[in-house]
Amino acid sequence: MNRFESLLVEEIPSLRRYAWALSGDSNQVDDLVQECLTRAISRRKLWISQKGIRPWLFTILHNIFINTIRRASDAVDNSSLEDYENSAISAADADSMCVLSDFEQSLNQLPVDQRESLLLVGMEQLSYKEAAKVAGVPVGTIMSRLSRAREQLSKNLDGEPQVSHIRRIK
Amino acid sequence: MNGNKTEITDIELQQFVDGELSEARRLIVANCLANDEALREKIASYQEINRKLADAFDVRRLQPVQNRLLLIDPGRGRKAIRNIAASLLLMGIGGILGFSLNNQLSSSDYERPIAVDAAFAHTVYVPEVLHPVEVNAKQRDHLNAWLSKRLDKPITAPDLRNEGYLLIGGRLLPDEHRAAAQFMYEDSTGERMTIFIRQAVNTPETAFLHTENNELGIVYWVDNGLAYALTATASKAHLNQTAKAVYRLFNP
Repeated sequence: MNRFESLLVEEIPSLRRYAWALSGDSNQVDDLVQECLTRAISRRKLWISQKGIRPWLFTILHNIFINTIRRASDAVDNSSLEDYENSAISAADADSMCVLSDFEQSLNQLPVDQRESLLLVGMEQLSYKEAAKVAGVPVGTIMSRLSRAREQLSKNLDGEPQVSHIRRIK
Repeated sequence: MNGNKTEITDIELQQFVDGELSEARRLIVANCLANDEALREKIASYQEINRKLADAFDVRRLQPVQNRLLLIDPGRGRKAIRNIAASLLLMGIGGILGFSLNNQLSSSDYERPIAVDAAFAHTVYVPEVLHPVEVNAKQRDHLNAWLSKRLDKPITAPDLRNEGYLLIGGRLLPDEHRAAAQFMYEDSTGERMTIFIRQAVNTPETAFLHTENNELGIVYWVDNGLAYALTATASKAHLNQTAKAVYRLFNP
């Protein structure tokens, strides 16, 4: 393996973790990561090696994920709402599968842009500047998203009754 | 008590937690924290979120890399993709992505992909009931002549009856730049084993190398301008023994 390939392979655990947390669905992880690797390889000439490979890979993954969300919401127009609900993760699914903790549920309930900022900075330890590049927004936007995400999560963690209890009845 | 809340914005609290404040400002915030329990709690709760994130998404809890990760678009089947696919396969051995690469296997650029390709071809054709092979064992001479011609090397389906394997037949497979061959065998219990062969001109010979892909075991080697991979659901010892028999048949 050459240097580029080694770097790519080293980042796979990180990419899987991020894909998992971002999508909230462990079944989507391999698809997202595979697509990300394939794109990275086909665009390797566009990678600027001085800048570190992680933010670049996360940017690719971000774009793939955003596109899959867009496709999913387009699907709502074209097919029945029921299909869409089946494909989306809901807290009710999570309960029935017993896989998501309250914390993960709260995280999934955050708007995607807030969740992403929190994951990039809080989990992946990217700098604000790097996170802004990945999400394609100004640094200030990352900071305010972070602030809102943390505010909301700490409220939930303080033990306020959660939406999931209502959904569980469904 | 000059460090009351109004002087510290919420954004600054984030920056404090994330190490994004200038040293001067960080000291000011730290000072305020000392005198403000509510702020300290807020910070603690933000830090708790970071910890929970790391705990919740521990990749060791994910399924090992799925086989389908190996099925990367052959249209873009360049070497890089094959190498990475091979690495994923190797990491699958540990069941955990991020497992360090097996040095023995990463020592050569060539043999790793054959383990991937052979396991893939094995997985695709072994479950076939009606058409497991293109040419069956009854036409053994034709099979040998055909595959030898397409691989441009004399190839014979080894007779492995002494090892408990009966030849079912073989097929031609598309390979990166040319053709590859697959022979399929069956033991008395109906368990199938395949031998994958491709050209390996100017490639140094290797010892028997072993790897695993889920329940599949693969032993592969390079000998006399051909690369071989023997794949079956079998122990390493059994695979090695069969591989040695194959080797002897090609080197009488």
